[in-house]
Amino acid sequence: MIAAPEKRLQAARRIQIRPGALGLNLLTYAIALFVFFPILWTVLTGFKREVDAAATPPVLLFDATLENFRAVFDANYLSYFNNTVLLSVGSTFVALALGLPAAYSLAFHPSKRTPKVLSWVLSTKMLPAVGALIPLIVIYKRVGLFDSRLGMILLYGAFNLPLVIWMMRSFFADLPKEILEAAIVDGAGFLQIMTRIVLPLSAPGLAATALLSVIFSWNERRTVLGKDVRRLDACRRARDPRRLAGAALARARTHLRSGEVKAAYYQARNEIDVREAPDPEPGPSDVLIRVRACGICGTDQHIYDGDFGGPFPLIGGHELAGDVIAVGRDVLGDVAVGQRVAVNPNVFCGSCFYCRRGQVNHCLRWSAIGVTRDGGFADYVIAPEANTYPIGDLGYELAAFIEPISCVVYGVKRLRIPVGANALIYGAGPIGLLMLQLVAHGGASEVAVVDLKQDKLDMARQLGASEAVLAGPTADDALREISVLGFDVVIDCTGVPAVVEHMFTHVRNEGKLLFFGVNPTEARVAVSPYDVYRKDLEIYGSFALRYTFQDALALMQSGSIDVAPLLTDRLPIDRFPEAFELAGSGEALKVQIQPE
Amino acid sequence: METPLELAPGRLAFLRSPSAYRIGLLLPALVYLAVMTQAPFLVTLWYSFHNWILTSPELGHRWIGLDNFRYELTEDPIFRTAIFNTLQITAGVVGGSLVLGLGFALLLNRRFPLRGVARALMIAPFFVMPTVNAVVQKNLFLNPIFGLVNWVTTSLGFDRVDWLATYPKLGIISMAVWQWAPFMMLILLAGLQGISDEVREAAQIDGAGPITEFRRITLPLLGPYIELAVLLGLIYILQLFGEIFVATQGGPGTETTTIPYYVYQTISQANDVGTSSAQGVLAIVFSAIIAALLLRLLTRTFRRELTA
Repeated sequence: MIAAPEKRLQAARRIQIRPGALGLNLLTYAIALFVFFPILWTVLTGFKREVDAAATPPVLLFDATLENFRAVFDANYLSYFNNTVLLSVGSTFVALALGLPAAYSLAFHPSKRTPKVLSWVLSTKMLPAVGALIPLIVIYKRVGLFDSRLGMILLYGAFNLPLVIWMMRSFFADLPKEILEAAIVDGAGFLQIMTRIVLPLSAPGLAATALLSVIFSWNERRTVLGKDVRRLDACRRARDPRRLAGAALARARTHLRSGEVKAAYYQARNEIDVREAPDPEPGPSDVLIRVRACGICGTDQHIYDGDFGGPFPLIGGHELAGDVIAVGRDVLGDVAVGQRVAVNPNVFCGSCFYCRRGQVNHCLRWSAIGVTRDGGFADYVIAPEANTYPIGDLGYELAAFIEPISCVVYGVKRLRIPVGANALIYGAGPIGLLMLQLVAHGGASEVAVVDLKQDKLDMARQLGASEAVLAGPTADDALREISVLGFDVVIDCTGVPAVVEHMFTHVRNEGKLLFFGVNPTEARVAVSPYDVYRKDLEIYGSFALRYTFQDALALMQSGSIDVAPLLTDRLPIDRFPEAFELAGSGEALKVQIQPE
Repeated sequence: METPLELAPGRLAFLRSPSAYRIGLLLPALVYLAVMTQAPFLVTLWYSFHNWILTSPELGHRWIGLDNFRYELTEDPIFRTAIFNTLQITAGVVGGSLVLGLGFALLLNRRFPLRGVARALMIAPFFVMPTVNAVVQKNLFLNPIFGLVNWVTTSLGFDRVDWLATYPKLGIISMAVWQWAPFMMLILLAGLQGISDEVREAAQIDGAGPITEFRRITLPLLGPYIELAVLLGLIYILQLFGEIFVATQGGPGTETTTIPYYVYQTISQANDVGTSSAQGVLAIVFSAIIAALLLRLLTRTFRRELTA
């Protein structure tokens, strides 16, 4: 009954528009457009080519292009975007859940301490965020929240809580107290009062508060915290790594202490042990790397069998990629903290007889990460700066293939494949498949591949083999059918002595043989010296790599080599024994340990 | 307020008591806030008594008492400049955005066609990230060669101006005002919507013109919200960082080096944890003083309005 006159009053009010209202409306529209104009202009500029964007006078009609957006999406913008949404909404939820009851309490049950509580709440926002950064990093690492979404949500929740408390208290304080008292007399509990009375009555205020909270988290994230901490770190170090070496080390140590460092050891011959490892301590010219991917290689099997490498206990793993966590005091600055890197495991002395002649892979003091010194089947690994190669934004999984590729590149470089030659490769494991691609890339006319397994042969075909022959009694006939007089280049990627012996059957006159697979040290094969003499044969060996890492990286970055299909299994470090078995079984192609 | 006790005689009755309400509802928020913000603050305070420079690990992590504070307050010339700059820029941004925000709110607190659209357009700037805002304003608008502002002014016959080099503070202030006016507007608009139409009606019937109505009715009733907007805005604007980081990097010289930016430089470029922590602690003291002074000023102003 009261509603009717109320409605009439409203209607009357609506009609009672003051003179000049139209003018005010136009003014409002004009201001709104003016305020919005920079955003509109930004959006328009997003569709412009660079020339149009920089044109004076500004171009209004232009050829719209989507190139800029494509670039943004290529840079994985969406995943950042999703993170931001999650953080903004999550932290607002936290702030509202805690802030609404608090605001209710402060508004409706004030005491003489209320003003003090309010000023304290506000004072928590007065410390400049950058000033609290280091303490935050230190604390978060201690409690394991560093670099986690939950940690960020909790942090921004705390950033927004004062806003929620202050704003909502103001809105609550404006509500008529009588209604609340009536509700309490009626026996309504807090939740009822909140959901039935307080929140509906202060809806505009709640909306404004929630909106502001979302926006604040949205904006805050991009300025100083989160990802930018690491970016700032990286930029800074790139400028002068030596100045910051000490700092980085100190920080890295805190980092290491915070979590357990795990590693897979070859404890003794044929014995594997995954356990906690001591903090690796980088020397002055070393780089501390957090391992992201490390491939298991045939060589690892040899080390495990005690044929090669050591001494035990030893952490294996020499095909690795990760990010730089810290750099030593005397690094030259070609590698900076925060960069993604791949590691060339071969360490040479530079002063022995062979090193002086450039034969660094024959260094008399040769050692190798994951072979003679601790390697990448661990959360962290140490490598000399000179062995660490920045890989730009190449993925870690792919980057862990650079080491095997660079060995293959070295072999192919030594071989100098005549353009147009036909080639035969034994073995279609990871190395055989890489060899296949590089041989094809290096000028061979056709490449035949022999393997015991049909699925690997299918993969070889997919990666460019012109012929794929199943090993067995019919293989020789099949190969003769492909080329009656044999092949100009025959490469063994199996490391099986019987296969190596057999290579001579299919080599053409003046052909080249490459022994690439690693044979057991005591193995011997029967070769006819007469054949070598009569056929003008060239026999090549190829050990590890020699300054071919950068070339392998280039091949990888240009996409000339496709390694993605070779990676069949990814396992965490805790399942190393299983991964090792899988890699040795021949069932899988490349197995990688990915600590996270 | 004693009645609830009688009405709810169950075991949970104590929950209904006002003091349990007060404390039970308030405590979770306070504890959370204390843990999340006071822990880093205490660590910061601890660092501020130390000489700890990340780039000189050989100096270690040495207790030096109040020396960092003494240096900042008596010797460091840039810190004083930074305080002064912070005051100027904050005053400009808070004042400018409050006046504009109030204007926007008054314009929007009427019924007119497309009100929702106009409101959305006016709020929009606040959604833009400060860093993005700074990039856009710096490059698309204030750039001396192909910026839109110079195109407008030179077309009107004025000389070309490198805005950020010539008037760096004004440039930063204008960027920030564009962002913060919507913030003020949001709070004030919510406040305006809380003023009941009856009061205004009564004033109109009593013959008050729009100006008198604004001065005697709207402004005093809006007082608490203006206080709130200014105080919250102040706390955030004192921390203004993104715009400066992107647009001027504190320059030219130290023209736009504010306290937060100086703290950032100390920690991030000089790698001096001890000094930057001391600066952070001083920033809190500084902010608290400004906030307290401003709060007193505002309260007094609005009280006078109400009684006048």
